[in-house]
Amino acid sequence: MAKEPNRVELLQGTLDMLILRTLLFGPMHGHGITKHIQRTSDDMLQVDHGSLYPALHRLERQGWIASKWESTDRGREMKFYRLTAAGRKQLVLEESKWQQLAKAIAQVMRPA
Amino acid sequence: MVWWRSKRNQDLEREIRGHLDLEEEEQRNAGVTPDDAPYAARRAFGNVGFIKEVTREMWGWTSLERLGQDLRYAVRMMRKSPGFTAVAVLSLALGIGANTAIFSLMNAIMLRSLPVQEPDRLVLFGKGQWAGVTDDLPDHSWQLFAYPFYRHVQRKNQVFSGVAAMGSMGNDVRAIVSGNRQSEPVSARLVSGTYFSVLGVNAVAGRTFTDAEDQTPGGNPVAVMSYSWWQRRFGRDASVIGKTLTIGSTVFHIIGVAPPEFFGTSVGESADLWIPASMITEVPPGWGGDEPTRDPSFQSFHILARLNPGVTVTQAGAQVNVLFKQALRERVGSAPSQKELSAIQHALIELTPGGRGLSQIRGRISLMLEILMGAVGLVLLIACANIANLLLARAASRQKEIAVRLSIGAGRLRLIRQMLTESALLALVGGVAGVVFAWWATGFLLWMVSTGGETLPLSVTPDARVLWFTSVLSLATGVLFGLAPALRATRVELSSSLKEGRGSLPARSKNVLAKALIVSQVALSVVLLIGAGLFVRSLVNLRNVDTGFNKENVLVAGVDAPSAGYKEDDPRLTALYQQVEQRVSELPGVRSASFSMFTFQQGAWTMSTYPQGRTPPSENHGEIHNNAVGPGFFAAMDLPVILGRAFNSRDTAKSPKVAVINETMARTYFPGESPIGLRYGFSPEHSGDFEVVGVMRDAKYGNLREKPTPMAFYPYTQQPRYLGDFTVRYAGDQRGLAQEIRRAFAAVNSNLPITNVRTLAEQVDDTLIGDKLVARLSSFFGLLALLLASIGIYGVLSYAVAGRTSEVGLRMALGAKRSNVVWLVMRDVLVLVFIGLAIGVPGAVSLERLASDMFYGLAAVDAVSIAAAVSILALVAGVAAYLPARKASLVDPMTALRYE
Repeated sequence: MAKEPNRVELLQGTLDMLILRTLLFGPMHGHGITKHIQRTSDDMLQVDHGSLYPALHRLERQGWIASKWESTDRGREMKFYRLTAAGRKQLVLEESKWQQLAKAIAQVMRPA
Repeated sequence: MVWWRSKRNQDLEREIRGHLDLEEEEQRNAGVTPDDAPYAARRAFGNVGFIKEVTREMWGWTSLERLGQDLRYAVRMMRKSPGFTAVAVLSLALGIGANTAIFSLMNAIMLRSLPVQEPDRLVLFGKGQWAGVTDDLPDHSWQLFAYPFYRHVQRKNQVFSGVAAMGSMGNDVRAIVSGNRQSEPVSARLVSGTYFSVLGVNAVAGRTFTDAEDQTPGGNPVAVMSYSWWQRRFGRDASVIGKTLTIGSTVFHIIGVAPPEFFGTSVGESADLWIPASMITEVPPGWGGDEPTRDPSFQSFHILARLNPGVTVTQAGAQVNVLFKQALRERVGSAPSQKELSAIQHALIELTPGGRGLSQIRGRISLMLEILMGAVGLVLLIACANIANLLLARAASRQKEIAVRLSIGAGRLRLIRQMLTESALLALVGGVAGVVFAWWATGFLLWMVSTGGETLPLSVTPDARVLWFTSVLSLATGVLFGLAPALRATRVELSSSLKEGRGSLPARSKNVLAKALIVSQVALSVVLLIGAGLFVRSLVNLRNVDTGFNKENVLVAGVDAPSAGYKEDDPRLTALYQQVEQRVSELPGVRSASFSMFTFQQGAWTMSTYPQGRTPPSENHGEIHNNAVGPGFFAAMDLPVILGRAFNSRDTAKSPKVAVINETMARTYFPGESPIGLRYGFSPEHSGDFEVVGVMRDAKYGNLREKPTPMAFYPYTQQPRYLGDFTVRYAGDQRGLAQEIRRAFAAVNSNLPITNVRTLAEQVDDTLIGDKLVARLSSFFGLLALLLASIGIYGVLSYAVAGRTSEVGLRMALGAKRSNVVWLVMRDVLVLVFIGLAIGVPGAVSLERLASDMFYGLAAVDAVSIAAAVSILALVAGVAAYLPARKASLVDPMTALRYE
C-alpha cells in the first residue's frame, strides 16, 4: 500500500479508538469513517483499508459497535456502523490510556 | 450453516462494493475520467481479496463449524486406517450391542411401565409374586387376598380413585368358538369389573366390561379378547364381537378387544381372554367349590389400586392396613382364639408401586440380568481399554503431525477436542452397529429365557429409554477410551519430536499408560473368566444333583381335569382316573402310569401339620408339602419306599386314610422312632386323620436347589382332587407313545384333554434355564474378554518391539541368544499379566462371596475355577506375547543395526 511521505502511520491500537471516536458523532459507513479521519487530521492520518474492515468486524464482534444496512441521502444502500453503550465505555477507557501514553512519551522526549 | 456463512460473505462483498462505488464517485468528482475511475478506486482501496480474507478471520469460528471440520477430519482418519477402524468398530459393536441387548431385556422386565394411564399412581397390595389359593389366616406381610376384602376396600377407602382385583393364576382352559365343534386351548384371566376402568384401558373394538357385570356370581358370562389372540385366531375380524365361546358348559359372549400394546398386568404371561371375577366358578369349569367371591378365606387375588391425587403411598398404606385388620376380625368372628388375635396383630399389607405390573418372572430373572449386565459392562470396559491402547499406538505414530500442528499455532485444547471427536465418531459408529447387533441378540436372549418351547410374551423393541441408554453409553465410551490418549498425544516436546523420525523409543510415560491398560484388561478378564467358571461348575453340580427320582424314560402329560365336567369330589372322576391308568399301563412298553396333583416343579399343596401326641416342629412354619397320587406313582417316578409299604388298590375311599411320608418328615415330626403306624393331621383337633404306612427316600420336589423338604403323599382315592399331571414310565423308545396316551385318554372320556406332553428330563431341565443362560453367556463374554485382552497384549508388544529393533540388534551382535531376546521382550508383559492377575483374582473372590446364592455346591473360594481361569489367561497371554517376541528375535543383527 502506497505511503506518501507527509503522512503518518497509525500507532498500533489507535485505529480502534479513532473509529469509536468518529462514530460518537452518529452512525457512519466504512468509507465515511476513512474520510472523516483523514479530514479531521488534515490528511495527516491515512487509514489503511487493509486494517479498517478487519477492525470494524472485530469491534462489532466485541459488541462495541453495531451495524445495519441503511440508505444514504443519495439512495445508496450502505452498511452503517454505530456506537453501542459498551463502545462508549470502551472509548473512554482507550482515550485515558492514550492520554497516559502521550504524556509518558512527552516526558521522555522533553524532560522537565 | 453453510447458508449462514455464505450470507455473511455476500454481506462483506456488498459492503466493500459500496465502499468502492463511493470512492469511484469521489475520484470522478476529483476529475478522473469515468473510464479510469474504477481502477483508481481499486488502487486506493488495496488488495480486495486479501482484505476480505483478513476481515473474515475476525468473525471467528463457531463451535458448530469447528465440529464440522473435526468430523470431516475424523472421517478422513478413519478411512486412512481401515484395519484400526474395523477392529475398533467391531469390538465396540459387540460391547455396546451386548449391553444394549441385556438392557432391553431389563427394561422390558424390570423397568418399563404398563401401557396404561398414569402408571405412577398405581399401587399393588403386596409384592404380587405369589400365585395360588390359601385359606391361612394372614400373620405376616400378605400377598393374596379374598374377593370380599377387595369389595371391602372398594367401599370403605377414601384414598383410592379406583380398586381392581385380578385372579393370581392364569387359567388354561379349553373353549369352543361358536360355529366350531372342536375345543381349543385358551388362557383366561379372571379380573374384577373395575379392572379396565382403573387401568384406563379402552377397547379398540367393542367394549370392556364394567363393575355392574361383576356383581352376581355366574351372572355375566362375557369376555374381552386380547389383541394378539384376536389377530392370531380371527385375523382381526371385527364380526367376532358378539360371537360366543363355550367354556365347560357356560356360553360366554365376546364383547370387545383390548389394545395391541396391552398384554395384561402380569409381565411375561400372556392372556387371551379377560373374564369378570364373578364367573370364577365357571372358569375353569367346576372349580373353586361354592361362591369363592363370597368366601373371605378364599384368598387367591392380587389387588391393584389407583391413588387419589395428593394421597401418598404411606397414607394409603395406613388406611389399607386398618381396613385389612377390620376385615380379618370380621372373618374370625366374635370369639377369636389367642392364636388368631396374634396372627391378626402381625398381618400386614405392604403397598408397592404397581405401574410396572406384576411379575413372576421378575423375581426369577432380575438377579440373573443384573449379573449379566455387570459382565457385559466389564466386556465393554475391556474393549475400551483395547481401543485406548490402539489409539495410543496410533497417536505415537502421529506425533510428528501433531508437533507440526502445534508449532504452527494450533491450540492444545483444539487438538484434544479434535481427537475426542474422532473417538466419539468411532464410538457412535460402533453404537449404531451395536444397536443392530442388539436387535438380533435380544430376540435370541428372549428365546433362551423362555421355557416350554413358547417365547415369553414380552415386547422388547427398543424404546426411548433403551435408545437413550445406548447413545449415552456410546458417547461415554468414546470419551473414556479417547481422553487419555488425546491428553497424552498432545503433550509433546516440540523440538525433539520435530527432529526425530519414526522409530524412536516411545516415551516412558506412554508406556505407563499402556501398561496400566494391559494390567486392567488382564484383571477384568480374569474376573469374567473366574465368574464364567463358577457358573459353569455350578450348572454341572445342579445337573448332577441327586433328584431322588429317576428322570429318564418318563413322559409327563398335563391334564385339564376340570374339563371332564365333574366336580372334583365326584366318584365318577376317580373312576375315570383309574380307567385311564389301567388302559395306559396296558400299552406296550409302559412300565407304570399314574395321575398326580403335581410332578416335579408343578407346585405344592402346603398345610400346617400336627403329629398326634407329639409337639410339632417349628421349621417351615410347621408346614409340610402334600401330593395326591395314584398307586403307580412311586414306580413311575422311581421313588423308592424304604420302610413300610407304597399305596395299592386296597386303599380306597372307604378304607382308613393312609399316608406315605419322606425321610425328612419322619425325622422332624417323629424323631428317634419308626413312624409306621403313627398318626398326624392338619389341625390339633384332627391330629389322628392320617396313618403313616410308609417312608420314602427324600427327593427334590420344587426345584433342584431346595433343601430337604418334609413331604407326604396320599392316595387320590382318599383325597379327591383335580389331578393335573399324568406320569408314564416306559421302556425303550418313546416315539409314538404320546400319541398312544392321547388315544387312551380319548377312548375313556373324550372330554378329558391332555394339554401337553413332555419328558420329565425336559421338565427338570427347564428349571435350570436361568443357570444355563448365565453359564453360557458368561462363558461367551469371558472368552470375548480373553480375545480382546490378547489382542491388546499382542498389539502393544508388537509396537514396543518395533521400537526396540536396534536395541535387539545390538544385544544380538554382542552375543545374546535368541532365547535371551525372547525372554527380554516377554518379561515385561508377563510382569504386567502377573500384576493383573494379582488384582483380578481377589476381586473375583469377593464378587463370588457377594453372589454366593447364585452358585450351587461350590466352596466359598472355588479353587478349580480360579486355577482354570488363571492358567487359561496365562497361556493365552503368553502366546500373545511370544509371537511378537519371536519376531523380534528373528531380526538379523546387521539389518537391525543399520535400521537407524
